[in-house]
Amino acid sequence: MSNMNTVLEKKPIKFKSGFLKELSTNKALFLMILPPFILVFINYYLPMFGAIIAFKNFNYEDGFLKSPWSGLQNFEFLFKTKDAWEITRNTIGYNLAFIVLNLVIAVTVALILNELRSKFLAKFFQSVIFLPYFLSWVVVAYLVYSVLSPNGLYNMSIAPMLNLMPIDWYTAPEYWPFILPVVNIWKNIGYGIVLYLAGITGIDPEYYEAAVLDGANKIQQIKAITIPFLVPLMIVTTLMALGNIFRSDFGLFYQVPMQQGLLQPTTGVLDTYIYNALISSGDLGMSSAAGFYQSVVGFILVLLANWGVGKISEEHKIF
Amino acid sequence: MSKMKRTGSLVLAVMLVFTLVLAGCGGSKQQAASEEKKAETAAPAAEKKADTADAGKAVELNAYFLAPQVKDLPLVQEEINKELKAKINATVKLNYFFWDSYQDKQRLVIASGEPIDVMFAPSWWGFSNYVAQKAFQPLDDLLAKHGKDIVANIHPAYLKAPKFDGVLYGIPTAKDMTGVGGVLVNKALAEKYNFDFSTVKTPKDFEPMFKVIKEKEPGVVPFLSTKGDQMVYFMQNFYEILCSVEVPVSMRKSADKVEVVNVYEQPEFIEAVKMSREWYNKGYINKDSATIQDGMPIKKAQKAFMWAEQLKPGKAEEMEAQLGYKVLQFNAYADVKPFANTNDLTNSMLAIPRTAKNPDKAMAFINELFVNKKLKNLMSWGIEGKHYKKIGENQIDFADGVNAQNSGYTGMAQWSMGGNQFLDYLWANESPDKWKKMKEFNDSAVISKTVGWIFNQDPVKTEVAALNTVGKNLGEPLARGVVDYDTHYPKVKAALEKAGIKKVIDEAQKQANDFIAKNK
Amino acid sequence: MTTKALESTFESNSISKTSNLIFNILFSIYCIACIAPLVLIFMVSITSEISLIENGYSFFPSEINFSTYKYLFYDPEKILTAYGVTIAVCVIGTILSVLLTMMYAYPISRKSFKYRNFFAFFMFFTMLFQGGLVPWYILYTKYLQMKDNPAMLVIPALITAFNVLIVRTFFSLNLPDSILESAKIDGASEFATFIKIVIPLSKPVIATIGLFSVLAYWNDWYLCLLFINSTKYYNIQFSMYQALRSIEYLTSSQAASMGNASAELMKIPGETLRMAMAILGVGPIVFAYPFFQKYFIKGLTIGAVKG
Repeated sequence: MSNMNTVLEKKPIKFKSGFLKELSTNKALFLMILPPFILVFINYYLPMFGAIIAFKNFNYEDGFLKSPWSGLQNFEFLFKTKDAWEITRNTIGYNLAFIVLNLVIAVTVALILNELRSKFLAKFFQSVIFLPYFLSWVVVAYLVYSVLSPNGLYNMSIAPMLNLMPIDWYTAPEYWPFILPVVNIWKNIGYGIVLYLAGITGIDPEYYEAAVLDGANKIQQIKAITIPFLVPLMIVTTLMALGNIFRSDFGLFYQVPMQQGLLQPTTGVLDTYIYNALISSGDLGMSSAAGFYQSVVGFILVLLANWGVGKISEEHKIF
Repeated sequence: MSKMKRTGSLVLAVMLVFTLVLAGCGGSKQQAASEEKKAETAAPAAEKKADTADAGKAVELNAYFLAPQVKDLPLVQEEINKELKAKINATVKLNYFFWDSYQDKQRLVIASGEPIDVMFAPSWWGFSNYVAQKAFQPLDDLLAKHGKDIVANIHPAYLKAPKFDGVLYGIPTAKDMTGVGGVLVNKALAEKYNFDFSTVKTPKDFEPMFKVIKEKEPGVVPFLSTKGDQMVYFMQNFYEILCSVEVPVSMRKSADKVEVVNVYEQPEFIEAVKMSREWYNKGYINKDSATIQDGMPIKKAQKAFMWAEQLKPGKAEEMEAQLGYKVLQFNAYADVKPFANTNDLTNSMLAIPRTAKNPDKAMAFINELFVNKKLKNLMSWGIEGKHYKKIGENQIDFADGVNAQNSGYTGMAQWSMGGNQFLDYLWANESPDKWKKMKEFNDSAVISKTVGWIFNQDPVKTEVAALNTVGKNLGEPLARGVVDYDTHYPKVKAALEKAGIKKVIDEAQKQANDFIAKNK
Repeated sequence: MTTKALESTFESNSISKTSNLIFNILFSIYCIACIAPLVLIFMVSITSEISLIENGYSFFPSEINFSTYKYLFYDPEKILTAYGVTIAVCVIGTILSVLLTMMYAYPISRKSFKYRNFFAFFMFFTMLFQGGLVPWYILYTKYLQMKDNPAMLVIPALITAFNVLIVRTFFSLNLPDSILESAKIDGASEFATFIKIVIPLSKPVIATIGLFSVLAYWNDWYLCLLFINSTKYYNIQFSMYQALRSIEYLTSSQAASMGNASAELMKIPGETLRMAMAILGVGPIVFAYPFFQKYFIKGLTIGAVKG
């Protein structure tokens, strides 16, 4: 140890000495992180150089490195249509709605489930709410279709029973901003609930015991103990969701509206746009460009959000 | 803030390391590539030696086909290799992938530089892109050297079609050269009401029949439309699609004129789309036509009187086996002739990728598929006595105790197995003169003047990508008759123009004109 | 409040019986909305095709037949192998994934670890930027020679930014530095602390990411599509996907416009098959789920720590 220090002192580069010092003090931690770090490096970082084809006119003979540069040409198709604004609005709008709804509903449901008197029932409910998560979007799309199609449950049974007008859901874009979030929450909310329940379970019961002694009621306990404990978790999930704000759950937007063009004004998002634009050509450069664009926007948002979080509370920053 | 800076500089440092590592990777890759190239240039020479001596070790060809992953593939492959070893001193490693994965696999294996000698590469899965991006080898020399049976056994129009700048890049399958858009009709119902089809000149003439069916056959859809498929089939009689089904840029089918148009503005399209709309409003077309996923069960259940289909000789018979009852086939437009264009002639091809290790043997293998009846039927139907049995000179049926479900080698789409389809045995339920009729049909086809020209979309790929989405989102409802043409089209038009349809049409027209001028 | 105060501490800290009842009713209603569709899918999968065309989806089909299942189980060996692959991948993958995720998350949760922000960012960055499918595929198949290797069903999904950052958040919340410091003072090595203190204290989060990991492996078909060529390594979701895609293509305009797909090829059952496959894809894990809850997720189960 002292030997090492003397060696280090001779080194003029401060950065390095800091690093090596840290390495020796936290050797175990470095050793621990090394295997997953290598895996991450291989699985995620090595292929990243491939992203350069977003700026290239790719051909198979020259490959990734030697294909000629093409500037920003591969990005042009993203802004070529009249509805570029519509698509951006939908993508961001739905994602923001999903972030807020998922957060509020998952946390609320988790809080309530945690308070139910019968632990058996609580477990049962939680399992059942998780069930739709197992279904693929294609199957969900069929289920939705069986309700909304011209010969479906709504038009054949519900509407006549309640004396309502039949509705042709698949040609009426105005309903879909409500249908899609409902379907999304129905399918995915179980995931968030499990997460927040785990968060609640991890809270030391002593806090509550102390609160009860202080005469705090349930609502006060939730406000003063449970929620503050869940805040870091909420921040992490929200920041991660923000990073993906230009990406969407493809199945939800592609399968569930049955790919109906007329619904495009309210169901079209960036991912379906890219898919439709490139499905026939499968152009590598353009699809890479699209992914790059989505990443950059997400990246900027996350940096901003993380900085914002840091302004309010330094310890809640995620990096 | 300073923390962030530090993090940033560390990230930079790590990124720097990455770039170094990557440059290293890249360097070795480049080196590897150039070595590969050397090997490639060296290979043909070695090949020649082997050819002349013809005693060299049999090479193994790596081949990709669009076919289901059947249980008995290893057995069949073994039989195929016995045959191939005897004939061309080579063996083949068959990779079968079907609709679920072929398109993805094709893109990935090509990109990854895997050595592949033969690959099924149809025009509708980005063939022109692959060629433009240099994924496949030019075949003219190879064809001249090893492909004399191909030339002898295929309609000459085929070998003119898959060409870029006059260079051949694919060997098409010899089969039906084109199709005609028409309809299939439930025979029992047609006879019940004594419908007279001889007077039908255009689809409009079907309308009186729909009226009868709607009134007298409750529960039967007079005209079953699956996502407006009738428009695709009806329009294929007049226009050749140049990009994809979604993009309305097409070439008018004409023996003398070369004209690229916006289909949505053509009289035939407008007429047909207004007719569809009218049928829809009158209740002749199923209410769920825009969203229905699969019309087959309805057809099978005899709940549809008529629907659109691409026709060729014997289509009605083929469908009978599938449907379980008799149907009749009629052309939608009485005086439209079969017309073969580049799309029709390139919709099933074999290509030799750039990465092929043995291009000469690969071509020899394809050549065998055009002349070797045993090999071709092994590929299409499996092993005689195990998977099928002969019941006539050229007719076969499942071998004893074998059926479609338990057979270890079944479900091949024969047209995707390459070669000369006329060598294939016919099934018990098929008419013995199917191949004769198909040859007649092929001979009656008018060959388009632009055969040999493939639209190179590279100069306008941005516009084509944008048009794909416009066509999908705005064009489809229009073409399916879900919306009224007159009120909806102006919106579509504006979007098409913004996406650059003019530029695409001009580019296609220019390329076609150049082609005609060069090939006068 | 005063009457409540007379009751036991536990009782006083529960919600009132009325609100408990209301919540139970609300949840019951919502649960019906979750279960009913699954039941419907099952009923459709055993409806005869004719009855499906005539009556549409129904909980009480007029004609029941199991032909779809017979069709799917014609080659039971294939399906059972596929289930075997999926289960093996789930078990191995989940164990490794949980371990590696914790090994990454633990150091970056420690305030004494100077470069924790760098490592956190290093992980988070992968969520935003990806090199794209093709370079990734080339890396694994060409440079690492992992093509058709069943390990590829496990490796790429072992570590994800989402799981790492979730676990890190739990660690920094539930593992106060004081505990870890005292362990250190007691002479425990970093690894011993990790195993003897960190892991036991992290049961809820282990259970949670374990569950997420099981789900990811269970639902995966894409890795199978990309890397696996031998049918013996096909997992259940990919087998299902394969059949589904064949149907989709054959009924799409792309396939139809080729026109000459042979009749033999198009002999395929329709929607009932789709639903039956959904049941086969979901069924086993739904039945396994309660066991998860009981044993594997013991730490997670509600009130296990508190109660």
